[in-house]
Amino acid sequence: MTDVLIPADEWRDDEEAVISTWLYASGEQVQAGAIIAEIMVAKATFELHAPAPGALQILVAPEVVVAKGQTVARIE
Amino acid sequence: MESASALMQDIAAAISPAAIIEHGGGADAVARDEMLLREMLAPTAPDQVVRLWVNDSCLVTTRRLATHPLFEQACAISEAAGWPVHVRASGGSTVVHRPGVLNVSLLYRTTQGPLRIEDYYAPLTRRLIAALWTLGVRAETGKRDGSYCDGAFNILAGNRKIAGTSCRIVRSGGTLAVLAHAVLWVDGDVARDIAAIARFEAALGLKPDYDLAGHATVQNVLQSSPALV
Repeated sequence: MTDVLIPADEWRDDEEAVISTWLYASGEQVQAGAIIAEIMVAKATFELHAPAPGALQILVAPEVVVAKGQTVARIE
Repeated sequence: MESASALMQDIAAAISPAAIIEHGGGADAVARDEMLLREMLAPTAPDQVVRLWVNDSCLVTTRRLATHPLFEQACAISEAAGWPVHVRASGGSTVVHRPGVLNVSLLYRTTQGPLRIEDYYAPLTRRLIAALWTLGVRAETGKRDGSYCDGAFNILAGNRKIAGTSCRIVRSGGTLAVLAHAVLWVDGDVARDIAAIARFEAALGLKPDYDLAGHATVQNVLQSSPALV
């Protein structure tokens, strides 16, 4: 099982971030490196990539505030 | 597609003297930004590209709203009113494209990341503000409560929003490619724009509550205050 974390090295400040869209549903198979979600910070969008292949399990709903380093999904 | 007004041509020239305004295209025009952004990750890509474009009348919304259960129904209602809906990849919320609205897409790449959020926007917002000041518009960045697609990096003039901005950042290794995009309301009827967005958002079950007084076109601003130069 691999945790999917909000990256710590995409933006420097501590602006509030949310997952704006999950591009896969829980249970769907994803490939390593696939873009699985979009993170929005002050109307700037960043991509969240799958760190490993497997079945995605989403832990955080869209529009919920997330922090850098937070686990927002798992890949099993 | 009608040609750009003299004011729009002046603004375009002030932003990028070499750029030619692209016209029309609907969804294809929206998708071209994403294609150009991916191309910026290629080692042979230029460091910076400025794209100026005016789309056909439409609403452009986000992937987030495109997953809404009432999305297809809301699109049908909007299209029946003359505002087809297209989806973009960058952030924010729904915006209007039409003749009279200048899209400014600044694409660049950097290996200096991560940046502060305002620094991702800065190459675009500084350029727009400098261009507008040359035309006599005292522009600045800031939030404007009650404006649609509000954000900290709006372009304001006299505390009225004249442009909305958004960014999209993609990475390949240590290289970041950035799309910084603005919709600048040059001329036309902003009240009609707001009505189109409110119709679409209401059809999604949202509760739009926009302050018309918080919005203006560049033409409105120039008519309501004497130019600096």
